[in-house]
Amino acid sequence: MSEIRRIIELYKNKEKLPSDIVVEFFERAKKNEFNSFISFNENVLEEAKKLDKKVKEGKIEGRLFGIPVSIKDNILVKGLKCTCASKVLENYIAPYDATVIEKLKEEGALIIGKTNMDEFAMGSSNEYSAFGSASNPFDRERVPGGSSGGSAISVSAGEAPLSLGSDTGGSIRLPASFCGVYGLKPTYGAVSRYGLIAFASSLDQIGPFARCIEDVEILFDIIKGKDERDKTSTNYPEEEIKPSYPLKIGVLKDSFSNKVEEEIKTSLEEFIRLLEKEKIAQFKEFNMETFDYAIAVYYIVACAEASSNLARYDGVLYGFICKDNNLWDMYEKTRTEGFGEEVKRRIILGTFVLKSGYYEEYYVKAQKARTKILKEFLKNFEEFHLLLMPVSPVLPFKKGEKLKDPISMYLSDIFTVSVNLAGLPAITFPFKLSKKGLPIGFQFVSKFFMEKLFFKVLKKIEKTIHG
Amino acid sequence: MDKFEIKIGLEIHVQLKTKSKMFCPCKVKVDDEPNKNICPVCTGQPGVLPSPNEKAVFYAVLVSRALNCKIPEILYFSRKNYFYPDLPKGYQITQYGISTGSKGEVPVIMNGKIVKFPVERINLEEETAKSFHIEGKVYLDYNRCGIPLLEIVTPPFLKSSEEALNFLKSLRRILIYLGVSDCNMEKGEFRVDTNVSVNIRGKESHHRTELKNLNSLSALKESISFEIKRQKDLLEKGEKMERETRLWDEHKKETRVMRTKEFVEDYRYFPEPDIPPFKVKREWFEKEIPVLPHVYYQKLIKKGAEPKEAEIIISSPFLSEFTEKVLEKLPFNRVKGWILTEILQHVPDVESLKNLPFTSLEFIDFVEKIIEGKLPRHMGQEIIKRSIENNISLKKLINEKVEIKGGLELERIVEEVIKENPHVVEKIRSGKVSAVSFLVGQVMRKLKGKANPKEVKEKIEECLKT
Amino acid sequence: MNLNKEIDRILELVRLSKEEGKKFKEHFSRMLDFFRKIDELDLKDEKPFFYLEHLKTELRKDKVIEFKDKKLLYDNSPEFKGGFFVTESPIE
Repeated sequence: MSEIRRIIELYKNKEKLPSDIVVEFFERAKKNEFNSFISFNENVLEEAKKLDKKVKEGKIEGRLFGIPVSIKDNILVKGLKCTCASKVLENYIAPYDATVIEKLKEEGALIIGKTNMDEFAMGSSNEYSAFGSASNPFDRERVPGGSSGGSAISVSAGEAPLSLGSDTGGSIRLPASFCGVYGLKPTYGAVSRYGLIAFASSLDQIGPFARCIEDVEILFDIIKGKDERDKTSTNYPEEEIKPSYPLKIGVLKDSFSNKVEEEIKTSLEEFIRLLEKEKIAQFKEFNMETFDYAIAVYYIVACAEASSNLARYDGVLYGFICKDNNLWDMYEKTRTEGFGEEVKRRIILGTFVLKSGYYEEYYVKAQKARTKILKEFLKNFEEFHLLLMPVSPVLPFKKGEKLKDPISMYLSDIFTVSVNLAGLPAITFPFKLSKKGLPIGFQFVSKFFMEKLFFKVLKKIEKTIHG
Repeated sequence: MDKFEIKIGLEIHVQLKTKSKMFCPCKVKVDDEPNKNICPVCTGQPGVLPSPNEKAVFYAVLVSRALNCKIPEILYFSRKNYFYPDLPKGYQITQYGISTGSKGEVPVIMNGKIVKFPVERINLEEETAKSFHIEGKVYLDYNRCGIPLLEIVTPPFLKSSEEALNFLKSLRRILIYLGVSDCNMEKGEFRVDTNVSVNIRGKESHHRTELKNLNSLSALKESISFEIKRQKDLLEKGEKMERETRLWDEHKKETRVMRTKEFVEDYRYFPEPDIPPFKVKREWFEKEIPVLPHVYYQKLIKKGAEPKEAEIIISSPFLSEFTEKVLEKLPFNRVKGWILTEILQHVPDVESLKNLPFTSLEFIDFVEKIIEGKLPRHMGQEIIKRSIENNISLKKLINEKVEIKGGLELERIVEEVIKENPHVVEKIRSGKVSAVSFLVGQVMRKLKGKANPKEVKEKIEECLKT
Repeated sequence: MNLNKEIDRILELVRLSKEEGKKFKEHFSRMLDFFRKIDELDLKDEKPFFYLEHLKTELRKDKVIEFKDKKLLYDNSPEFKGGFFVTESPIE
């Protein structure tokens, strides 16, 4: 059932006021059981009381009227701290609202706090945060996934009905899967990045988390759209989608490789059988030649762009500063002490692939491989309406398990990065719990601007699975 | 043939006079309260994105067209990555790999002729913040940060400080004529870096001296001359030279090595991912390019102007256009004094030529009156002076003068009145001075009151003396 | 390629301390091997991606819009004196 609809009904029937609802969620959030929040909006109750008046007057305007939302701490909310889970911005107060925040506020949403994440969105487990790692609500010894760990947790644990996160290489989809909720990475350009602290400019997208597909759709509908301030954003086409069932869905062959945990494979087969039985879809395996190379391509492109995007954190205009009488020493000490290890690793790698002498061999080559990846996807869409694959090759892993070897952490992303490289939309939907009670989710990928197809199909599937 | 080969290349940075900045809508106004015209974008705050200014691109294309450059159909930007306090993002958005204009030429007026010098490329980029260094600290004002900047680079084709000077004078003039910048060097709107390299003919060399940020064209000419001589001397002695950056010492009149940091940058250029490519609008090419200075120059020479005279006139686009219109009706030798001496000596600066209180037609009329003798020369000089200084139209002043001091008109009426009233004149001549007022009244009656009685009296007395 | 020299040079360019080099050398070397895998792909006919086809910049009209919250920018800075942002001078 849509949380948004449920709550707004309560307001319409004057059964509850926004301040009642906010108190409910805010108190749960403030306990911060899973360390999903970095900071809270202490004014939210006051803001809710302003909306109470409107309810009493019968003026319930806005698609998110009085709905609490949590925001990943790399999206600027004016007046609140925006830390990016980094020491470098630990005391930075956002001087403006991100475009998506302006849109949420216009629709009456109430922001309860900023959620935990991997520092500068670089990570897959939320263990690279300067404010402590976060825990998976299904098993506190395990990671919630990253980098939008806090966002996924807050929705999963009922700390907020909705959340906004960001996805550069799987950072919405992976934690959504690990926490058993929906997470959408929109088509690149569908949602404005203005006010999203940049990691990799050509890959980043802001997207919604929710517990049901209808809420994902409502939230996406609000945040999408061209923004004059973001030249990489574009108009969203308004055509209606009328899917004809059974859909043709391609299953990535590598979903069944030995790199994927057994339970995930069997669940995938179960899912396929279910959909075939209900005549929702017909499945066929497809292969991607570029699959094994996607992670390498991703890390070259993402780290290169990140190394440039993070150059502004130098202690001059804002942020952490390690004072020194010599400017160059000040830069060095500030950045060395301010950034976490993983961030520094990526800055170093990214700088290397852009250096003269290596630019053609690494960065340009990776961008060529990226073209090939997109072409492969588009070719498959000539045959299929949707593509299906796991989100993660493993179930939510234990904290600390992948910290010793960063590359093992990178490999968590094998099923997610190629989608960002192509700019295509993809969505995580929760399927079932594993034998040990851990969430198993899967991923649909579609052509550019086909989010409506996700919503229609998943509504159908939601009904089928959950009745 | 000269033993030495001299190669001089120039890198010019020009601030464009758009209303808003290159990548954000902040006001372009450098000399304002510090940090007044700033926003999250031009101060490189987390989460911001650049939004390119259409006017700036239009200006860049206009300059490229005027200099006969090749202009691509599609443009994009690149990032130039390095650290410096005046660079908030840690990178500058510029153009690399593609330029708005390339392989063009500047028509340079030199020694009475027009010579074309090549331009390698014209790039659009953004300005950095203004810094004030005081006691080990730097005070930063971001009003300037993000203003559109045009970078114009030449190949090392110039061969003397004179050529460099003339090139820059001509380029500056062209940019002013196009209306894209005021090119005020003192305000930093037009900055030049020079590369000077001298080698013995036949013996290739890889050294090069960069002369940075010279504040005036004269300092530039002097420093280049000095540098050429310095390098020649070193070559004569057989000494080796390195690539270095030198500063011009205005007092000692010499170039000095700038303490080079050990640091060599690697700018790691890559295409700017935040700004997808955009087409150069076809309709911009339909807009006419303003007439360039060298075209006016050639016309003036044809009409009989001396090179020096033509160069003075073309210093202002308003004066060029004005003079051209005047020369449609009058020969140059008749107007040159009035323009070069009379007008120019009374205007406070070249800029105010655009606010002359008279049109070219009025001016033509004025000069014609002088030629025809209807207006004495000395009166004409006074009229021009009063017109410009007090912002009164020539027409008005001419009418007043002709009627009052009228010269010929007043004189004629006075003589008429004297002839018509012989007994009054007799009375005046025999001592009854007060009778002059009767004659004044008669003159005033004939002029229908349009005269200054005092001046009429003076005229009558003057005429009676003779 | 001299790995140590490369890393030192990079640390210089990104303003990180030389100490970091020792920490990252192994990971860096592994990542480079990892990256070289891409050579297995046939890319000779591919153009580099750089920008998605469906994106085109619409240039902004030259109009002034004032940012009203300048104080919030001043307040975030480590040192703000007499209307200026202050930091160490790059000139000795």
